Amino acid sequence: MLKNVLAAAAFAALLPATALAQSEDFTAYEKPLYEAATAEGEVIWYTSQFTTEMSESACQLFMKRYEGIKCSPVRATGGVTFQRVMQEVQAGAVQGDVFSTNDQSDLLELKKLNALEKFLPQSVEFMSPVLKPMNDDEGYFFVSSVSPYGIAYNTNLVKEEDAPKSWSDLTDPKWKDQVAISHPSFSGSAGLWTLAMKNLFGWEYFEKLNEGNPQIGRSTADGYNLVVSGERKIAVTAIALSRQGEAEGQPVTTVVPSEGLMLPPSGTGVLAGAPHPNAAKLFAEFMLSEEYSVWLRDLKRYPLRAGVDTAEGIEPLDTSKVITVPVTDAVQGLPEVQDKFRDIFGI
Amino acid sequence: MEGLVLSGLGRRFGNVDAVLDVDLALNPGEFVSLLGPSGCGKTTTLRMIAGFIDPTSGTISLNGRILSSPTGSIPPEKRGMSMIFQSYAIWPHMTVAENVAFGLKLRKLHTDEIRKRVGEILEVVQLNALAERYPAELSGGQQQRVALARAVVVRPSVLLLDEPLSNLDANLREEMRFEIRRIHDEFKITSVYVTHDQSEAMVTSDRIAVMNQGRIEQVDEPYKLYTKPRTRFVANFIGRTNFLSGRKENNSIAFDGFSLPSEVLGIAGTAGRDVAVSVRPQSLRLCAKEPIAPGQITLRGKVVERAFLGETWDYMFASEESMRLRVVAPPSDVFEIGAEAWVQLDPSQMVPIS
Amino acid sequence: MTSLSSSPSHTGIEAVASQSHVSWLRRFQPSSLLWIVLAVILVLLIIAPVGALVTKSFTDPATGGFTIQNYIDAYGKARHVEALINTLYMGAAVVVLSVLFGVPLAWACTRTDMPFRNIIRVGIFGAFVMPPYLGGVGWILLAGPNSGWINVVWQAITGSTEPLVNVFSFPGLVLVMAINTYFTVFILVSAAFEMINSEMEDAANMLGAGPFTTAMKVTLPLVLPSILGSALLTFLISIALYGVPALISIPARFPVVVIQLTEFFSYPLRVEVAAAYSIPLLLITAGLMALQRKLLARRGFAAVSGKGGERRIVKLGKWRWVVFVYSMFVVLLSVVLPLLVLLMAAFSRSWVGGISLDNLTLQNFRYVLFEHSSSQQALITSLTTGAAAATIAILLALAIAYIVQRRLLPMSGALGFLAMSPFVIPGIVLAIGFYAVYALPPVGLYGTYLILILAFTTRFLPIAYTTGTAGMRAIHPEMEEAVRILGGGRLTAISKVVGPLLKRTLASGWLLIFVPAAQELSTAVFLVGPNTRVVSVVLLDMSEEGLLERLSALGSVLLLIIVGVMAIGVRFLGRDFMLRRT
Repeated sequence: MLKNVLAAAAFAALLPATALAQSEDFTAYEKPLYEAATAEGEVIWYTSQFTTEMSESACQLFMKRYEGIKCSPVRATGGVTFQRVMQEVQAGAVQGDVFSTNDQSDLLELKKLNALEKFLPQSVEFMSPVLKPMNDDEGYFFVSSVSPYGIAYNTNLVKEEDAPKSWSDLTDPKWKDQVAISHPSFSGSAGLWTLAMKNLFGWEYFEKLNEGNPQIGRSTADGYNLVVSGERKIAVTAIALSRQGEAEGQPVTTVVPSEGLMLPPSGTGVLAGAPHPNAAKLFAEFMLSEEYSVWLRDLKRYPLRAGVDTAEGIEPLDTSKVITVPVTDAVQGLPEVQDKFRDIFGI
Repeated sequence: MEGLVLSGLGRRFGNVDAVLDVDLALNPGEFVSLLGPSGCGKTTTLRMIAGFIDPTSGTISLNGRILSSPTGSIPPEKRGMSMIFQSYAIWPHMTVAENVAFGLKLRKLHTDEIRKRVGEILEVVQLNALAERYPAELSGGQQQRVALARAVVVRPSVLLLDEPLSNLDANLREEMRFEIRRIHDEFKITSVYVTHDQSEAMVTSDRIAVMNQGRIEQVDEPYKLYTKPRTRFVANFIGRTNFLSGRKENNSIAFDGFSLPSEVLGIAGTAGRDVAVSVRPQSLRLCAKEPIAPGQITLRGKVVERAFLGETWDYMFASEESMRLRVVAPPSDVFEIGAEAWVQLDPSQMVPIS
Repeated sequence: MTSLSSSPSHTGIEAVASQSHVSWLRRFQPSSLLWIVLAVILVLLIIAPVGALVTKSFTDPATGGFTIQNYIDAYGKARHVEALINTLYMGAAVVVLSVLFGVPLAWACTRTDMPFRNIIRVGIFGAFVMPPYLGGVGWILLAGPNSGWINVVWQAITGSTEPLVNVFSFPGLVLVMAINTYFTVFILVSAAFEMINSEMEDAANMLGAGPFTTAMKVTLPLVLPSILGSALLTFLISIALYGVPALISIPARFPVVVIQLTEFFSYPLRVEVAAAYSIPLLLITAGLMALQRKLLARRGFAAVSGKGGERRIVKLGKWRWVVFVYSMFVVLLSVVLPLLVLLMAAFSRSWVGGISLDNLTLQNFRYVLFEHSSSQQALITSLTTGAAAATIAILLALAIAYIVQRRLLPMSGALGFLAMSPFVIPGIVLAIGFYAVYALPPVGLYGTYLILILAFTTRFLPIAYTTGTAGMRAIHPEMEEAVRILGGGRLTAISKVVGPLLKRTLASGWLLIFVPAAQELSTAVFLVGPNTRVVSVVLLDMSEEGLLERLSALGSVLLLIIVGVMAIGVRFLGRDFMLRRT
């Protein structure tokens, strides 16, 4: 588990000396932003891109670097988070500052409603060349995490040779009652995954999957936890979770499906009318910092900066086989996919 | 006009007249009871005097000032009256002394004055030893005394009593009747007392107003009310009675088996009219032999029912003309059922009623 | 005594000028204003949200004009209609199970010599304190098809590879709801059993009816009104519950109305369609209420509400153990087992790790109490909004009960009706109404504590009102009239007499609202902002990710605090204050 990271971050946050030492490293751009953000005192981060624990950890990291600004993560699934933001936008009472999601179509929708600030962090230039093109071309949001979808299985319950090798293996009758997936109406990544699978195999894939009676969770992380607990043997989930879990000694390992990892790039935008606009910008800037990328790498995730390598044993993204869904397709396709999913799985 | 005056007072609830056309004037310091069966409007009348209910017609005035009228009423708290409730309404969260002092505090009297007056009144109702007790620790009679003290201590312009004794047991009730009268004699507060118990009304009151179906049937002193009831309802409600029905003839009234000159009963009017007369059972005499009594009427018949009540015999006598009369006789006058007997009526105790 | 025997003074009267009639202004009391204020508050709390809901449901979001398109969108899909039918089906099943649990236990605890009645009572009490979503998590830990405790034990004993029980199913959903709702049945039916005079049963026995015939022909019909009443209440609670369906009905693939409503609230946000979709739910509940009133109006309540008379305990003989085992079974299902696994999970590294020293940890508590940024604040928010809502609701309800009981206004009956009406508004529907009126501009209360407090106040007003009415009834009007005739105004009567006498009612009513309000989820789910998240919402977010150990830890902390508050209440009010809920 992450407790070491958290404890270290919490400990560091208690030491102003550390923060002071680092404040000397602030760039000329960063410094006035930090001062303005300090006056605002807080940043509220609506996020579905990480688990609660990682969101907390990211905030600790931020607070360690930018002492005096409280970072409050509000973590829920993409669907729920987006619902809350939409409620606020409609109510004309935006309460969050930064919005991160695995489903970039949500960001496009907000952009259309003029609910996003036109803002990209300065550090965009240091981003990995694979990821840079996935930023919004008009400069409203950027890639803040990459959390590919793959297959995780419980190593106590499934032998390596029996484990599924591809997305299509999941429909094998031998996995009846043993697969966990997530609901596209709740999880943003699951929405994209559903769209990608539909593009690959057509709806029969889901009809066959349904015969195997998969457990449908709300969050991607739910599937991972179901596998760790042994409640289900196999899950479609964010491989970052299973890689990290494996590293911590959980009975879980990761399969990169032969068709390729499904790549939902998480996007982040600053909300228009945010109560703490400078803190929001500072936080966005922080997400593209080297520190943040190193932190991602240490957690077996894909770093965002070009200069930071992936963790040992993880193939870099630029050489990995990936399936992507263009964000414009997602915007058009998702409502239909969610509806069809509900029709097939009856929920 | 001095005193409490109800004139043409009425209260309508929906389509029902709870109180109708009530006229009543109390002299300052007078104690008047409103007596009647439940639902007769006596409590509604009392609550109108208190100001809890507004009249729909007529007025209530005190010493010439209008308190209530259909166009508006002074709220109860501005009438300077006080009231003793059926439930006593002793506040359970205050001690006896606090209960009694409450009205004085509202009048913003000086603390010393309050203490003095509370002490005095508690002495009058014999509760000074219990001043610091809470009501739950008191007996029913003691609670009643607290209610009395609380109502009297403020020296109200009018004291209202709403069936205050109905929750007490019989012995205590008898004792408290005299207690209430004693306190009235001591303080001479104009009082209106609502009850359905005639003996309570008779013990306590200067005058009694008998109410029936929202109206006052008769207002009189207790003795007069008993001996000279004006209506069938009053005659029946105050004590028990026999009703004799007769018919007016030219100069006399004809009953079954006898007749009397009109002027003896004081009945005028045209011939052929039906007449009713009330005769109390106590005013009749039952005799084993035909009595010789000039000026009295004698009927022959027999005893048909009897009950021994300890202090008296209660006989039902049926005359040869099958007129049935209830007669009360002393315990020594024993008659068997079926025995031949004579009843003796005194015309001066026969009261014509309407 | 001379000072006392002086002639009665007329101080009170002299202030009044001699005039033929008294002006309206003179009759006007400052308290009259208060009644108007109350009426306005009720309109704002109840009429406005429901009105907005109805209006929105007919409003075209684009043009603001009239449309029935929202209804077509809401009910034009077979799946959406199916969710409504499923909900009714589920509600009915929950009612049946709640009655099967609640009625026998109520009888056993009030009318029999069943052993350990107090233990059973404490257990049932637990069902009141435990919020439904925690019961749901407990049952996921118990009856998850592959790794739930019951299935693990079953498979270990029998060697079977098939699960014995599966919480992610229709029966699982119904069970998890019923273990919470049967408490309502128990409380209401217990109260009715307490009121039955043994002489009524004796009368039947004298006429030759055996114990069974007596039970069926006399006892049961006498408590039938309260069984019906509690069944209806159970139905209303279960169809409006959000937490349990969110946890169970999604994996169980059993779509229900509340889940469908959240879909309308996600992208694209369609408040109008959500409003339209919730109107039938509102009509159904209101219709059922009307039906129940009609059914009960035909029977006099006199028999049950009459004086208690003598109440004898039924001697069960050998059967008392059978009854005990059944009662214990219900308590185990509803409280003991879920609580046990919840606590175990809270102290475990991994809830499937079994019972071992290695698996034991306090880390989950440390996490939720010190590391997780929103848990502490959520605890504070839950407790303070719960307390504020309980305070406002009970004061408001007492004021209304006062007006209604004392018939101070010609339309006071309507006030009482209004105060009871949130009873038929499912929590989530109320939240949508509140969202529509108060969250959006121009009021713009979204994400404030105020909107949560107001919504909770409204939601629990009926509980407050029934408690308040019972309390007011116990105060004889003459208690106040005595104040007034002695010269005190109505406000004096309230502050010096009515208020002090209502202390107990205030306290017990407050607790009865505080406990559910501090745990409320259904109303909160659409109204919380990032800084006003309550524990229930944080727990729900945690449940999405399957963080069951931490969720259990946070849930246990909440439970502990609430049990603490309850314990203080029980200490000062006595165990039976719950019964006054009728």
